[in-house]
Amino acid sequence: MSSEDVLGRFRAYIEAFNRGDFEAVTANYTDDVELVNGAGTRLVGKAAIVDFYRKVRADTDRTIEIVECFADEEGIGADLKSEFVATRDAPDFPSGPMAKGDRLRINSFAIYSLRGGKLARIKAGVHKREWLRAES
Amino acid sequence: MSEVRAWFDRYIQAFNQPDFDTMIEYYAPNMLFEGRTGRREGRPAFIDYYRMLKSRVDEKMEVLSFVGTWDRILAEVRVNIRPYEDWPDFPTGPLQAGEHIQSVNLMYYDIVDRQFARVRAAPFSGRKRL
Repeated sequence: MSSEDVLGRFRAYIEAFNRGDFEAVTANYTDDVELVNGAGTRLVGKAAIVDFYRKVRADTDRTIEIVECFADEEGIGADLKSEFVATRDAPDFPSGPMAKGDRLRINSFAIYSLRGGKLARIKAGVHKREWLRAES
Repeated sequence: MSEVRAWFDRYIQAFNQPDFDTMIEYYAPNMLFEGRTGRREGRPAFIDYYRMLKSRVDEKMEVLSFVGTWDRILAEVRVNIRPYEDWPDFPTGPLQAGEHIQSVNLMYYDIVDRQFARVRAAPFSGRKRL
C-alpha cells in the first residue's frame, strides 16, 4: 500500500471518529490494538476504545482536525487539533472536570504503528492545551 | 532500516555522546525548538544550550518508536537524565545530583534539506524518579 493510500485511509478514519461511526473506526484496528491518549489513559482492544470514546461523546461534541500527517512503511505520524465542547456537566472528564458549555482545545502529536495495514498501536501526547470556560 | 531512520539514529548517537560537531550538522541555521524546556531559535542557541546542559547532566535519548520521511519525523523518545550537580531551577523541575529522571516524549521534527528546521516536543509520560 502506498503512503497516499495509507493517508487516505487515515483521513477516513478520523472522519469516522468525528461522526461517531465506531464500526468504521474499529475496522481500522487490529484485534489487540493499544491506544494511549493524550490524557494518559491506556486502552487495549477495540471494545475498550469504543466504550471509552462513547462516554466522551456522551459528554462532549468532539472534533479532530488533521493539521498534517505523513506515513512511512511502518506507521503514521500526525499533528492533530481537537476541540471538546461539553454538552452536559462532566465532572469526571478524563482531561479534567467540564461544565456544560466549556470548551477544551488541544494540540497533540500522535504516532500510529501499523500491522497488516491496520492500526496496532497509537500513542498521543498533548503539546498545547487551552480551556475556555463557559462562564468566563 | 530506512535511510531516514539511519540518518536520525546517527543524530541520537551524536546527542548521547555528545558529539557537538555532528549535532550541528543536523541543525538548520534558523532552527526553532518548542517544548517544556523552553523555546530556542537559531543554531547557536542550540549549541550553547546543549553545551551547558551536557556539562551539568548526563542526558541520553532512546528511540522507542519512529515514523519518518525526509520532510518530517515523529519519534517516541525516552529521555534519561542523571545530573552531575544539583539544578534547582531546571525547567521541568528540580534536579538533584546523582538521581535518575526518566520521561517519554513525542518529538516532532520538520526537516528541510536534511536539517531540522523545527523541533516540537509533547510529553507522553510524566517525569519519574527511578
